[in-house]
Amino acid sequence: MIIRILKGSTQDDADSGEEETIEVEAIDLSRTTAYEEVTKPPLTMPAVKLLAKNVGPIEPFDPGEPDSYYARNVGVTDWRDGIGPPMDIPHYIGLRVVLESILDKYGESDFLVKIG
Amino acid sequence: MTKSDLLTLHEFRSRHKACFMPGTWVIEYHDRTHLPNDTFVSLGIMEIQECTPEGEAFFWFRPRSRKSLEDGSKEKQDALSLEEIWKSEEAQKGKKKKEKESQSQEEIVKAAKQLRQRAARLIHDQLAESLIRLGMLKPVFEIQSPESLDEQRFATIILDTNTLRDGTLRHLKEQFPHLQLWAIIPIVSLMEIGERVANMTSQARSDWKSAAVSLLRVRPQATIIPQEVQWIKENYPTETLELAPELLRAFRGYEQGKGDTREPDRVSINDRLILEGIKDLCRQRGISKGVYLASGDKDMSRLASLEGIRTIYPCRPVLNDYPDGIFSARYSLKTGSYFYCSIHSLLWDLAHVFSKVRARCLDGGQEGDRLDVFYYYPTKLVKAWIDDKMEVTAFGPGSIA
Repeated sequence: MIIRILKGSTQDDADSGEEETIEVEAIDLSRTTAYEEVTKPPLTMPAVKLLAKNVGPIEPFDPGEPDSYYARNVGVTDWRDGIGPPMDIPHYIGLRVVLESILDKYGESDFLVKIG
Repeated sequence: MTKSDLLTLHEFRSRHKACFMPGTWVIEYHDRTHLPNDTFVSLGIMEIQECTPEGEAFFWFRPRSRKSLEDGSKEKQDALSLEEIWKSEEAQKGKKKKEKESQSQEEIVKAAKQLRQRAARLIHDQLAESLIRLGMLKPVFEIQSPESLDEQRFATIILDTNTLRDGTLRHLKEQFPHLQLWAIIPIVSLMEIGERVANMTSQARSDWKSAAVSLLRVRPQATIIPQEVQWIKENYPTETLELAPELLRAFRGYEQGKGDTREPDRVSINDRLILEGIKDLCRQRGISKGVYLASGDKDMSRLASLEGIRTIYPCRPVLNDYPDGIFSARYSLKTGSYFYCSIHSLLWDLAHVFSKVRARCLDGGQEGDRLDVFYYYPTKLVKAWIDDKMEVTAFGPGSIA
């Protein structure tokens, strides 16, 4: 999944260039309820905030069905130990924490976010 | 069913892997220095969302509000407030004081309220610090330097006592992953740890009293910093910032002054010793660029900056900025990777600060399940201190690892 942070607060401004491109492995948008919305034109920061809050699994989450619902074997660092075995992160949790880190960095400014 | 073990964090994680089921859990603490026997104070609620097949859980931690800690307002019925817990002691103390010093009832009530407010603030501060140490929250670095850290390849970081407490080096590495770090730990900070341990041990021997809540502020210095120093030594080239013997004589400890003699400039003298040590280091090695003092003390950072020392000040986030709670996983845009804090690490760190920590399940069909992590268990031997072992006790039907 690729997320583009676009300069400017309107679609026209956004065409002027990208600020940052983030490539996130192992998140499958089709497995989150955000799917419909995120394929539309770039999101404003308030919309990203709303999305980060509400993003969830597309069907009731079933840990017993890992192949259907998990981002498998994602490298995760345990803050305390510094090492971490690959973990299975639910897609929607993966997407949510990525969106939160974008908000953390760009939330106060006029930027658009395109997810796809 | 009850089961007790003496475990390291690693053993705790592997033996009690799948014991935290999705649902609502309350995190409580007991500290014998300032709480009566068997009294637990709630620190917050943990909502466990999902467990991976390996038994790792993603959770939200919602710290209890300061107001609720202080007087129990707007809180679940089973969460005791400091007001309720200390009521009997306050009444007793009030009676004695009134007899001795003819203090008015209003003054006694006011003093008790001030202590509760201070205690609630202290507990909140310690929680925030703990979440920073665990990487669930991250500080914003204010860097005073002519050149940007982004342009540097190497940095020598002198860590003062505060930054050793909150794991600043780990956050620096995350936010500046390209930097090769060289860590320097001031001898003054190490001397402070020794002082703290001695001071705390003597205070911990007496019966509980509400005023001893202030020990929570100093405890991480004795419990967390030695582990942090060990971790730094294992992961980064590390040296100690030595001082000339004549300067070391100026070091001030934490002893209480007797009578009218106060301990006036303890903090500023010790800060001055660190600053002089940095200047000496730069002079001896002929360097200035790339040497940074990382200090969580605003005044010290400002003073150092005035004297031409480059500084890094980690600005701490405030818990009130997170009304929905703090999530256990984070994504770093800088490193492009996920960071995760396990429930085990959270309980472990809190036990370092709050002595005994309990996680108790409130729903999810696991009613009655609970797990205690105890730092100061009675038979703790030297090896257990070095290995950072704690007593882990699991209760209830789901307690078997």
